[in-house]
Amino acid sequence: MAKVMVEGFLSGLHRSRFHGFGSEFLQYRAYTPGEDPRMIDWKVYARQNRLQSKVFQEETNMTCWLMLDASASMDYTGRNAVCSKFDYARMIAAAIAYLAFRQGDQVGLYLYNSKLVDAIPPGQRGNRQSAIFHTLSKIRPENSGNPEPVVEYIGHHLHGRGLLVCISDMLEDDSILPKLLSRIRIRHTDTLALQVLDPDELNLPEDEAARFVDLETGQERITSPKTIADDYNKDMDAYQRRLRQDFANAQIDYEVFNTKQSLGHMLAAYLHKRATC
Amino acid sequence: MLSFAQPFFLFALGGLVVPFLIHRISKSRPIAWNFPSIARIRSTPLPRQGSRAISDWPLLFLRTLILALFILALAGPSWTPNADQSGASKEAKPYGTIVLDFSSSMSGWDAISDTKKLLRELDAEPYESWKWLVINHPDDQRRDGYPTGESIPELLNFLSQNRPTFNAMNTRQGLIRAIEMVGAHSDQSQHLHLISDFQESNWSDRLPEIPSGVEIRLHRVGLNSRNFNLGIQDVIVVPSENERLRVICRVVNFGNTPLTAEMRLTTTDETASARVTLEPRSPYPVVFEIAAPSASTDASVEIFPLEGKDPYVRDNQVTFRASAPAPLEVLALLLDPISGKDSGEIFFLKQALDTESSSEWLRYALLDVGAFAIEPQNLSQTSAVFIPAGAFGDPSVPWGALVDYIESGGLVVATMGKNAVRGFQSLQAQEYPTGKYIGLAGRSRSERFFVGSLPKNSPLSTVFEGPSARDLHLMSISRYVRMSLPQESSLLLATEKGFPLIATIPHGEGSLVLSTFPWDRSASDFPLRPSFLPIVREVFALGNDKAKSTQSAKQKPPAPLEESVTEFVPAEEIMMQLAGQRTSSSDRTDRPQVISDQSQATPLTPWLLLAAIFVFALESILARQLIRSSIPSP
Repeated sequence: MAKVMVEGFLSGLHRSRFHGFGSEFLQYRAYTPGEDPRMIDWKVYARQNRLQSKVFQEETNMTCWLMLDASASMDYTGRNAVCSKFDYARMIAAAIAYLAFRQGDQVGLYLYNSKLVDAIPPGQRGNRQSAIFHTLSKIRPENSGNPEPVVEYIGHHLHGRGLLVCISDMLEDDSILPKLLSRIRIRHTDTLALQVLDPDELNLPEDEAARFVDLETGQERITSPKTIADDYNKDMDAYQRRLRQDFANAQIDYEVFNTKQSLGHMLAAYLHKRATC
Repeated sequence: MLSFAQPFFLFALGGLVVPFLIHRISKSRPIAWNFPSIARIRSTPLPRQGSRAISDWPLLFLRTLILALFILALAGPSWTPNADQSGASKEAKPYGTIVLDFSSSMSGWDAISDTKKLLRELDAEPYESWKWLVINHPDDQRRDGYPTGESIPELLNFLSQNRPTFNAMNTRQGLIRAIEMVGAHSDQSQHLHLISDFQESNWSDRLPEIPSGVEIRLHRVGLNSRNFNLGIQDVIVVPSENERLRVICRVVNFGNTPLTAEMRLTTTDETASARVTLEPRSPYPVVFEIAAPSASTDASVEIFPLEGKDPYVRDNQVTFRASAPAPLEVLALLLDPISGKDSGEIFFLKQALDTESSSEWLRYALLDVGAFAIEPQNLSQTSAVFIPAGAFGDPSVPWGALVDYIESGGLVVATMGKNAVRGFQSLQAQEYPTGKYIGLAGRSRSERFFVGSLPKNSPLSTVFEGPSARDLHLMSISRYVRMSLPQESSLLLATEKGFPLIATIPHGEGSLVLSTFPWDRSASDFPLRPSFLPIVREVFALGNDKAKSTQSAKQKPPAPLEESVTEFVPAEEIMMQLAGQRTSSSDRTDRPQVISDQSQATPLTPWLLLAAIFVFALESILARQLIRSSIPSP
């Protein structure tokens, strides 16, 4: 599915940052429509009547770290969603990993909840890709979420340029994740924060009575959603504004993914937006 | 005292636990909703489902109260301000009236001892005063003749000095008198106690209705050993040979098992006894033969079981007059008693009937009367009526009464003469099958007619057998009425040519004997012949009523034999007549039931419904207030 989304994405991509560029020529590769035409070696075209792009050394040094929240709060499927947040999030991760692998980048996967659950260090294609996909398909969200250990772990293993993609619902204390990710950003690693939320979290359904049970802590709270919906929605909006501001202050890209919407469109729109920035 | 018309509705009170269960369930938990984070969710009171959510104790209490009031209203409660049974109440005590049945059946089956026990129990109960009245007593023939009193000890004393009457009197009249007694304190609580065995012989007639406000209690007594009783149903005395009398007794065993009993006949001169084994429910004759006393004398016959004791002894003894039966009465119609006209036949008839025979115990007493004496009251005691030829055609003869008499079993012997045709017309007017009048035979004085051979099946053929018939054929008749007989008639004598001389025409249970010639010397030499007497006696013997020809000794005074073992009238049936649909009764073996006087009960159903409506209004107001208070202010 990730491949389908990527292919769909790629068919519309005309400029992306996910292609290698560098000062040292490494090899030719077939030109794929949508790539930067400046990389086309016209001389080769004149000789061989084939479009070939130049691949420079720095492309192969691109590392993508995927940080996926596997806490229990991600295992929520709203009434209007087609899948849970975690399924949605791991599809995002898989899509990005596939795209990166396709670009010739190294991809690493780090799964966390209250602790680092699983870590697949960045590597090339081949068994790395299958390992990442296999891990994504097997993992089950549980426990509470605490990104600090994984960010610390990634930070210790960070080298070279790269991209850190944090995929989470970010329901922890609203100031912790921007702060953590800013440490990575400071080290010149491009950082993306992708928040995956269910439509119910964005717009609380107005039921008469409900006994809310926290998926991570198990705490219960009896209330009337109809009564608190307005307040909740306002709190949520305010929270997201703070997050956006904090991420902006940390120069971290922040985007919200709604599980009700098509993942392909969401991903394409986001990546296009990044490409045009 | 609180009472309920439909107490089974009270079981629905157990359903009041349902609101509590719903309260517990609804109070527990709404549906769980697993949510990613409840950090931004605050607790709030749950809203109400309309106005009927039961999550508040005050509302729960009010709703339960509404249900309880409704259920109690359905049970039909009523409040009766009666005195309690213990007698410790300070409220007014009721007035008691006792009506005691003193009919014959109360003499047996320990009914009186049961009554005495009951009276002692009633005396111990808290009553303001007592009155009593004894019904079905001989004294109640007179309006004010009912034995009455004003205390139970007085009634007990009455019972010790009196025995129940032999007669079944008028229960209805007795109860009417009792109602008059009760009515003296109409403004107080009244209890009417009826004590009887309530047998059909006394209680199956229409009973008066007891006024409302009087509590009726039936006490059935005398239920002991009702399936055991011997009784003498009838005693008949008939003359026997050699100046003796035969006493024929009919006895019955009313029990369910065979019994061996001894019967004893006692007269002033002798005593006879016989032992019999009686099957259940089957009459049995016991015959004694005694010497006929010179004068009518009192005699008695009694029966008693050899084992066990007969609980009802009233029908075990019969007294009667030990004498030959009285002569059978014969009325002879004489139109002109003063002149004695047409008395010739009566004279000869009297001669024939007055003759006594040692071999025949039937005796007659002939009485010549005028036409006015031919009436049903006299005819009921008459064995036969003789209409001489001179009266046969007279219009003053009351043939209507005579035909009725014949139909009821009587015998009319009529001779015909010159005016026979009018007699025929009178009989035909009464629709009597007389046959056809043809004419007079023997207009010539020299013409003689003779008796022919006796018709077959003639009752006279047993009298005139062989040579004894010779005199009959020597009888010479100069004049007779020629007639044709109806089909159902029997020919006793006929002429040589077969014309009827004496015939009997049955009708109903009796018969008319027509002689086509008078029984005097004007038309024949019949009265002078030796055969006249046997013919006359045989003719009059045709109407021999066995009941009248025997001495039937009913019990003196007559015992209500049917009362011995009759069916009981169900208490409900008696109550239906006395009090309509009110209350019920108790048998002697049960304690009398205290029954509330419904007319003084106050129904509580309307009040309970009003209270339920009030509580419902209160619950609605409270629920609305709670809803408003639960909605948080913006």
